[in-house]
Amino acid sequence: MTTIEHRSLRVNVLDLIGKFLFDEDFSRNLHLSEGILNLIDSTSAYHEEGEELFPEIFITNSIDDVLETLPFCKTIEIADAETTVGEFNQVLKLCAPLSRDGWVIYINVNENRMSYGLVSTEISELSPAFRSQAVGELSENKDQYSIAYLQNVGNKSVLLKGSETQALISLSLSSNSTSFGEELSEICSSISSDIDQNYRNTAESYFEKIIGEAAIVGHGNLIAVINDNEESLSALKIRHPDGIYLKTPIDLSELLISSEESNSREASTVNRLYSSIVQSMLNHDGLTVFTSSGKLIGYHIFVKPDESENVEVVGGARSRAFEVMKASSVFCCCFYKSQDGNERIWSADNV
Amino acid sequence: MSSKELIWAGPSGSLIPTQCSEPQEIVLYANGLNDKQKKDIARAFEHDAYEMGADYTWRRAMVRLKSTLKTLGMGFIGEMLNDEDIDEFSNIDIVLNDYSAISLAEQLGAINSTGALKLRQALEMMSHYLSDEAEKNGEELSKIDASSLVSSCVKYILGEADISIAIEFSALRSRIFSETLSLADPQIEQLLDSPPFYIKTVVSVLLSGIKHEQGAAQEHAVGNISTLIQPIWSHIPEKDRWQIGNAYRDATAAGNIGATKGLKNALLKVKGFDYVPENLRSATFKKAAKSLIDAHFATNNFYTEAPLVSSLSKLGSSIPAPAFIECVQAYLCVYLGNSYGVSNAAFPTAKAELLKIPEDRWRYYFSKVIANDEIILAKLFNSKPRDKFKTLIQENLMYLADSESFDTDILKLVQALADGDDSRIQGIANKLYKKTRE
Repeated sequence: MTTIEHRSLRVNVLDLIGKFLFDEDFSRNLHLSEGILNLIDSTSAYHEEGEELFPEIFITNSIDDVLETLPFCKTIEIADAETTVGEFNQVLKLCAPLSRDGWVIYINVNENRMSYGLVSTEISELSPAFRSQAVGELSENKDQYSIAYLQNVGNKSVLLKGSETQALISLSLSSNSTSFGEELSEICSSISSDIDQNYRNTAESYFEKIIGEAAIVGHGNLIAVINDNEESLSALKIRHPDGIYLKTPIDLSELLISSEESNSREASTVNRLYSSIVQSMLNHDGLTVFTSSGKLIGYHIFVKPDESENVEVVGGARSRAFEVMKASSVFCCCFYKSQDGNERIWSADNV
Repeated sequence: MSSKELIWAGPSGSLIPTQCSEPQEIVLYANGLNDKQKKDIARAFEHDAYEMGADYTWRRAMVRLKSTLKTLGMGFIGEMLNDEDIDEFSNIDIVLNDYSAISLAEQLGAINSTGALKLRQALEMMSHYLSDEAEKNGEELSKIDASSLVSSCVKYILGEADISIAIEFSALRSRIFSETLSLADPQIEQLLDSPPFYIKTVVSVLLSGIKHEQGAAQEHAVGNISTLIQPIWSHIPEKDRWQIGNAYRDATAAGNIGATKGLKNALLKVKGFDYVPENLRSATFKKAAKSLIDAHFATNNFYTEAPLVSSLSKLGSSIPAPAFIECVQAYLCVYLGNSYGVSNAAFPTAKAELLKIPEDRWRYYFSKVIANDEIILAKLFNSKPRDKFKTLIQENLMYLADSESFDTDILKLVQALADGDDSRIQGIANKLYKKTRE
């Protein structure tokens, strides 16, 4: 009699969560690992009232210590309950529809009790995202607390990040592996490369924030960067004429500098308005093009192969477009994110 | 130099022969003025136009002082004054009033403490005699007062062909931005043993570097605050701790990653996050308090204080903690007045607001703030403000006189105020004032 081999994705992921919690020094708690598993499963494709949601969640064993270094943080506690696996599902139900525009779900778990709600660390449109404050480059956790941050970063892929380790859990059986993070940093660095040195770092983190948010909620993106000069712009329009080229480019670097220098409500509102429309443009079909000085010059651009260029024709439409962009010699940097979350980057400097 | 010695101090002023008592003789020693300017001043005094001569001398002295300070960059000056409205594009003559210019020059070693004290007295006198009130009452500047003013200006500002920032300060500032210093460094050892006056200056320099410099200079400033924060934290006056907390909030709001990281790390080392403002409400209070203090030290203060104290009081009776020090200082300035009296129009509002301050906050002010509040300590050198302070304590704050939590000198000061003992008040205030810088 033949035996049936049983391989379970659940066991694999539960094992990974257990290792993650151990590395992050969370105390042993079965409800916690099962609860995180449920959160990963649910957030990987979360819909509420027919709308897909991308909640950001962080779990800690000491919310007071996490927030101690962020006194300007706004907090709304939603509930306090006994720690059970079922309560983790309740967290998503109650908080996921509220987790948008910088509001992040927190879950404070102790042995028997858990409290949860929403926090926001944003004090201006330029302030770093909660992720970089809590588990990113700005985190300064001196072993005072354990923390786990999780977010759906693409179709069926969830990023699980702590102070020490991170894991990308793909619940898809597709062979395309998903990567997350470095490619985004590189394209944002290219978009900011000709911005005044005094504002370059600020601009980079600002672009990471708005492009990162757009990429998470979008269904795939193509972004390219050209040098900020007339020749590059003319060459681009000749080679890829099919698209919307703005008569007046959106100068995000100027908006950012003016917001920073004037420190006024009007500048801040204008900045938010343009950031929002840029995010919509990024998620429109086709390619979005920036200059290396932080200007958005065109979107909804459809690239077509040129017979003279040697392009490998593989994959879906966006993947082929990415190959055409690389070969067309008009861009200095190109970024691709597929619908299933896979990211690629190409830079003329590295060729 | 022993570590007990001051790490930088302004020059003690140029020498004016003791036999020179006439303003027109003193002005001959003003090497910083050209011959025409000297002649103009001398001519005014020869024609008994003391006010005109003194005013002109004062203005030349202030122009000189401000142009020296300007060489450090307006961004740096903004940081030193903890005024975020001052940046590289600001006009020094508009944003820097005479009182702040004198304080800053003292802090940076361009003039010494005695010089600063005398110049502040001269400023108060000048502001009074140029006021509408003095004109209405027919008060005129006497020859003796004019001579004393010209003498202070020449001795401390106009006597040398060039005045400059203390070399020791400039060298330390340059090292802070060009290398990451260790606690074993002799200059740092010396700093750690220095009075709060020097430590707060270095904190302002560090914050200025972290917020405004780029690349390596910013990295060095971040590294240096990280090294210095623990040993200096207990010596940093409360107001300057709030300045650090505020800088962290500002850096976060500006998306300045390098500065945010450095300041967060520094505050973490000393558990200093209580000094980070939670919201922007305190900024409005601070701005209103600063305008009031600026008006208090400017000409016509008895008229200009009233609308400003009213604006400050209308912001709300509950003063946010990050702005408490500035607000209580501003209300006290109006309430205590100066050696010529108080503003009758502004005084009642200031008094009413001071009386609303709860007991715990007064205890905080006396236990943590007044020892470094140079403006209020200096008020106690003069009889009229001193009398007002005595009344405030005797009529409303007697509970402070038996507070066991105060430092010995502060308790003695409060008790002397309660007892109305003028010579003890003056002596203790003088000792505390000197302690901040010697």
